[in-house]
Amino acid sequence: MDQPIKRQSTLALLGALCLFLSTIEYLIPKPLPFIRIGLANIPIMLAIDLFPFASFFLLVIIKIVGQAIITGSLFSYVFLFSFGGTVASALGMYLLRKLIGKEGISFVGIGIAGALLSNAVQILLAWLLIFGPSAQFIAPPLLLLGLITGLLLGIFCQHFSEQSRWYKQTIEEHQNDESR
Amino acid sequence: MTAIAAMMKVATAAAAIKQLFTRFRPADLVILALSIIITISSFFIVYAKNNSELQVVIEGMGQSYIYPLSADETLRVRGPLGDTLVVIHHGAVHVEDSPCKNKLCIAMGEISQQGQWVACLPNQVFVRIIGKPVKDGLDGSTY
Repeated sequence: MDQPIKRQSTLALLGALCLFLSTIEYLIPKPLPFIRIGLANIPIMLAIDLFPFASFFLLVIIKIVGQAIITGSLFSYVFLFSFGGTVASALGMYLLRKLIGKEGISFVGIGIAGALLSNAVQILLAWLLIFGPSAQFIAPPLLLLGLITGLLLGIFCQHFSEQSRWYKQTIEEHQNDESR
Repeated sequence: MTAIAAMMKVATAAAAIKQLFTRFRPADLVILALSIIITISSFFIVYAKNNSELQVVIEGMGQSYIYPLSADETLRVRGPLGDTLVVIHHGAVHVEDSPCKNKLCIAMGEISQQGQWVACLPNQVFVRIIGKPVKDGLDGSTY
């Protein structure tokens, strides 16, 4: 691919961060397997402002496949849920940021919307493909947890994007790359 | 001194939280409100509805189906001998027809209370009603 070298290295860094955070999340004990904190979505949220769509989507694919390999769910139906949820939330978050703009929406709103979309799609897939109407019983606690984790991750990303020198520098370098 | 330092810390933390909320942008608030509304209403929709309503669980050939007892359905449930016809009508369930020999399942008649069941053992179909137990009903009585 004919990508600027700086963007490639940022993509590799964020991709590796996705895998690392997936591992960390996998190590945290959880009462039910569907409950996710969504740590691996932090690099994806940060990538929204850093990359054009193609690179952003590549990162999303890296996250999905990497997470599936780490959690050992690559060829199970869990992968389908993970794929659907992540793609929907990533596309939704990207579109929201691009359509509304930085002044209209911060990472807090993006995080909540992403969690909501991810959960909604996963519940829908569970309803349609495997569990039938009884899938609705898992919906309320899942949505509540998603709201909380989405809010927390959003606050973290907003704080990070405002405070991090690395983040500001990377955005500048990407812009320089593209204008060259 | 430590008490003052602790109070200072609390004050800065409170200021940070306040700053955080004032920094919310318009779309953030819209999405936050929307998400809260969806979450709360999902609790009401899913749990309120199913507490008051009895459900019919139909199991056959390793598959199971759940229908509300208030539904109006005629179902063909596959079994090893053929199709068992289960009818949900007017808040009660009965087996209309079954390809078994003794037709005990048809003879069991209608069920409508939580915990009751109808089974067709030869055709491996099991119908039962789940939901809230009836508080002031009698299990049985003799004279």
